[in-house]
Amino acid sequence: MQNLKSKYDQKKMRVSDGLWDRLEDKLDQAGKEEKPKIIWWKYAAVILLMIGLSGSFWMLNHKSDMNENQEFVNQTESENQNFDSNVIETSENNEVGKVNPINNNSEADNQRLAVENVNPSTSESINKENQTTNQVFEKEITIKKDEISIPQPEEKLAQNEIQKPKERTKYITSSDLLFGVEMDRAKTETPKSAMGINISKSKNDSDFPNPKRIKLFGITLYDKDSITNK
Amino acid sequence: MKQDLQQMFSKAKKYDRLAQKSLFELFSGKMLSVANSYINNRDDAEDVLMNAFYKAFTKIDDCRNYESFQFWLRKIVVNDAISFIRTNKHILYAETEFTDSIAEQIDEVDELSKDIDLDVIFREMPIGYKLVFNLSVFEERKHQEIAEILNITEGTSKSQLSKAKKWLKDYFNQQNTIQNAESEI
Repeated sequence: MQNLKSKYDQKKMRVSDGLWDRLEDKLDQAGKEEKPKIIWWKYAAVILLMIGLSGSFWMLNHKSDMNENQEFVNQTESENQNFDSNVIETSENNEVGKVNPINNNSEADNQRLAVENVNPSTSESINKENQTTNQVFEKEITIKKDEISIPQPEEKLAQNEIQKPKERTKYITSSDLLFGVEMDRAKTETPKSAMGINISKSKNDSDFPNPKRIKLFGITLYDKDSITNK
Repeated sequence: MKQDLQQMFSKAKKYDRLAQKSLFELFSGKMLSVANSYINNRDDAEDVLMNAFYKAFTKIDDCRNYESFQFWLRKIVVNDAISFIRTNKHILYAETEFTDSIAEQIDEVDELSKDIDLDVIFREMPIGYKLVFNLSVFEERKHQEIAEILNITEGTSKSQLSKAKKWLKDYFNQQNTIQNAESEI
């Protein structure tokens, strides 16, 4: 049996020429089939990741923009109402009123920023939102809505204070009182014209002209000096 | 030679096409003979050989070192050849018990082994006998392993081997008588 085995081990056959080419083609096809699958999965993973990230960012930005727009609209509406009432009352403020919406808007933005600065917890919560998951995002955004919606009355109060400052009551001082007394005395001593203006008339002045000499056809009818001398 | 084989093996592990071609050229002749010893058809044997090399090159990481590559590849070729026969030819093994009378015939075949032509065995021997004979004699597999590979009992494997040897003995006796008769004429 060992002889048979040694014969068997020494036996070789010549392989046909095209066998390696067939094998090479098969290996190439296998390599091509495997590589595109891997590449496709990579691209698909990247695309899904991009879509997910962009979607989450869009959702966050959209919600914050919506909140900002709602706040802005509410503020501008209230300010426009105030502005309209001011325009009706005074015609002189028309030109100023055209400029006021811009100022009002800027004031509203400043007030909104001021409100956000007053509540630092809201800004901190916004920063934390970017680091947490989407579910936590939604919850915190709802909390943020509540926090932002609460201070709106304070904004209106602040707004009213800025637009309509309270007029301080003016009390009469002692010097004013003395000055008034002096004025009353002067009125009683000096006669007043119809317009209330004091006119200091000289005693010699009269309503009629006081000529020194009157001549008619060469004849002197009146001569003041002759009369006084006489 | 060993260094060349080591280099070819290490490059083939990196899917270097030239190294794969070198390994193919080095072992394809021997492996085609092995496959043909089971299938007895050159074209089918080449198909089996190509698939075996394809498996070997695509799963070469499973082979640990270059020294065992030849045996690992041969194992793949044998398994593929047997599975090819199983799918294309129906083989039925009759369950028989191995007896001492059958064992005596094996020693007689050993005496004839010098004159046996391998091509005759591959061409003329019945496929059921040939599978067990090849696995036992050429691949040096134990009957337990053969029984697991062919999904038969160990006794059947032994009886099939003894019958294969008896068939060889009868075949060569018949050939001798024919040659003697032709020489007398």
